[in-house]
Amino acid sequence: MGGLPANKTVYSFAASATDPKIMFAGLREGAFKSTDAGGSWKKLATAPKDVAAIAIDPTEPDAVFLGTANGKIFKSTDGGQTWRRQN
Amino acid sequence: MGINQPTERGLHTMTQMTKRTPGRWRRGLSIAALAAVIALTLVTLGETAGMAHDIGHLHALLVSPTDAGLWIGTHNGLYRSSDEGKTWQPLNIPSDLAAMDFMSFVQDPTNPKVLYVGTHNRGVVRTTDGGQTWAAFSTGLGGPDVHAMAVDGYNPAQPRRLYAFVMDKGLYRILGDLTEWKRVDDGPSNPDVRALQAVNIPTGMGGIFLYAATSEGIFRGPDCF
Repeated sequence: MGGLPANKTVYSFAASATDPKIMFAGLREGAFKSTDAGGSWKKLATAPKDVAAIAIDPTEPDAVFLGTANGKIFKSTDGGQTWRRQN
Repeated sequence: MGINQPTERGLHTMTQMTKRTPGRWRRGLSIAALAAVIALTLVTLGETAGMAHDIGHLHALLVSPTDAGLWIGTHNGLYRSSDEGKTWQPLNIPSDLAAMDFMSFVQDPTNPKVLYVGTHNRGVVRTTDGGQTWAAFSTGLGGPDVHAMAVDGYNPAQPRRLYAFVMDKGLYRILGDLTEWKRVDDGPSNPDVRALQAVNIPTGMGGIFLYAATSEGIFRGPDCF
């Protein structure tokens, strides 16, 4: 599970229904993505911090929603590379 | 801030102004101070009204596969959005099921109108009509504090396999006719579980993996009991 900050709480987790090796993890430090079933993780540079919840649109694998602890919702349409504030 | 406080403070301020200012300014300043009190009161009332619609501290997020609707569980309740999260409508939860926190969401793989929500202090609650009505769904659960839930819909022979992680009690599962939760084991070695998901990666032992997000990273274990 390399690439996630050590000894930090992972608040949220989502794996793709269409390609289960693609996963997202949400931490206070930000959002992280794995493409090898959690073997390694990379931080998503433009995602917000304090990621309390994260979910992949089951019908559209590149569409990802996340919610921050204080209730802000963001959407990515490119698999987490860029994010747009929704509310 | 209560409504009385700005009024008292405003009156106090007006008294001070009366002592210090010439007569012809007194009424004007009083009116200005009164206007300030009214404005402050309106702001206070506005904030109070706004809090009723504040979605609050967020815990869980679900994207429905059928209509791309979003569902969230928060400290304040459950909400649904039909415009990708721009606006939120609160769901009506009966008072006996109202929880301090709605922690996790899963959708039944065989019927998108059936959703299960794990709560901080009311076990699991379920709707079978797309969120219109809710009922307790906790028979057999070892405790009320359900921090994480998962659904495994990948086994055609057993299309409904639900999991709930109960704090200080362990991992529970409910199958088939969904009559009773049964304890599986302690769950991940780190018991501070924040999220759970069945991931369609074969274990090689006839099942798939359950992933758990915890206070010490991500764990996984076989879902092949």
